[in-house]
Amino acid sequence: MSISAKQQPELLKVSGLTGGYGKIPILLGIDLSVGENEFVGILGHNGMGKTTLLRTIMGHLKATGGSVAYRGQDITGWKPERRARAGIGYVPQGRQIFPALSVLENLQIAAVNNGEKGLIERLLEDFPRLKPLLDRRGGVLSGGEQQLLALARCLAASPKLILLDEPTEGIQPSIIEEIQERLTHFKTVYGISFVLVEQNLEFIRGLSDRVMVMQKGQIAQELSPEAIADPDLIEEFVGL
Amino acid sequence: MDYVIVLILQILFSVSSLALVCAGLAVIFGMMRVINLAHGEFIMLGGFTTVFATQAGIPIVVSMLVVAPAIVAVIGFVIERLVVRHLYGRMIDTMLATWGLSLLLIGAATMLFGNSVAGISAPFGSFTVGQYRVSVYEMFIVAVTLVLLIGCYLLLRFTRLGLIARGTMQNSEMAASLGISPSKVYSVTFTAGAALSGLAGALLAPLSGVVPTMGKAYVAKAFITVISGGEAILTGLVSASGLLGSVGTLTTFATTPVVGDAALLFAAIILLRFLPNGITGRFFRRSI
Repeated sequence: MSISAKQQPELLKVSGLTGGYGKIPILLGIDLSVGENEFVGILGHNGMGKTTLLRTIMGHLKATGGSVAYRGQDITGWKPERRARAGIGYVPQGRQIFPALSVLENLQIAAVNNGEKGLIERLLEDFPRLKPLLDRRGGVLSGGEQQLLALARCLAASPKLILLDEPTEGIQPSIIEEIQERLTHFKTVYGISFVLVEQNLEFIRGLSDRVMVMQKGQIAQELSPEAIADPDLIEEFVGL
Repeated sequence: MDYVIVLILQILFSVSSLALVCAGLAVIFGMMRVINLAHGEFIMLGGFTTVFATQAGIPIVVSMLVVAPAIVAVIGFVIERLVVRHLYGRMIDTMLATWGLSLLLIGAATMLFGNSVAGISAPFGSFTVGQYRVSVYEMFIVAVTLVLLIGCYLLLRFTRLGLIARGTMQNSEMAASLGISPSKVYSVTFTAGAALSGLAGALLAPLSGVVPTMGKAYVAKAFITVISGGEAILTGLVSASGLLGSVGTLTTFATTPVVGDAALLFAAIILLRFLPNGITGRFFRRSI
């Protein structure tokens, strides 16, 4: 699986990336590549730098060293909005729905730079659960509904690559299944690539082409999704 | 009966002029969490622009509604670029910087225009209600404020620009993740806030006269009103101006203007004691 992935053209290439909050280093040299239409999972404990990695790839945190390249272009110094417009989508931890905007407005604001006609109607076909909620304020939705909205909102900007930060956190199991099924659909039908940061083993195994184990600010190991089924191995690398 | 009508018109005027004086501050503080201590000087610059433009032969209504907001908008745009932009998220630093700016603008205006009152006379004359005389110009200010508030509401609620502004206000980092540039939104917001302050100064110029230090008279009242309004920019502005403006005017009618101002501030203190997040922190929470 990993060999075939490496033959695909690289969409995202992270090389020797270091960074953190202020003077506190968290990422200690990350190397990561994501191919076209590839799903890469990143597994790791709390505090290993998973969220920091995604925030640095998105540009919300400045890299102190190393580089991020997207479609062969060095984007290390780009602002987040420029990365977003280039096709990188971000579904952050805690979902970050605009609480006082309606569900429809949450989708519309994501589509402001996107001229595609009938986009929101098409998105609602993909997320039928959101249809009856369009006039509700984002802040009053349940966690699961918010997560679906966060995904739909991300897709409204027509990204080529989506960074997902713990989408199953605090979500009821029925919606986790729905999210997993939707993500598979978007990968196969729209050809979107994903970087998924997650602690839910079953979820990450069901989706990923490759799984990276992150430990203490570095990628410690690359695993095949099948290897995650082996509890001893997981114990060794992740301690979950 | 006539007395009641005049009193109501007077309250409408006080509430409108208070809302007008606060609007620029409310937009800048509400959208960007930037405390602009040079707010009063934006008002002053709007006043001077109106006086000079009118003296130069531009019709007074054009000077007030077009020239003054435009000039102060340009000044606001430049100040955002040169000063405020570099201090986002650092509230104390922004306050110090804009305070310095306030002193600079007062000094510069005193040097250029002198320390005497520049004035223009209010247009439109007056009409009578029974035995009382009411200024048409004061009612003109009520009308302009009303149009302005409705315009702001429609802009924020129904346009693409308004949607972008509201989203950025709620979560600027997420807005950036969706391809919206917060710094552009802030630049537009600050410029719009400056234009509103310029408009306020322009409309008040014929009533109060224009001096370099005139901003000081407005800034404290404006701040306390905006804070009393709370998070929702427009609803907060309208409700706090309505409440505090009415208290101030009624007290003024019963006693003197000085006691009226004191009553306004006292009412704000009581309000904030019981509603520390302002009126819209408790009521009208779904509003804009």
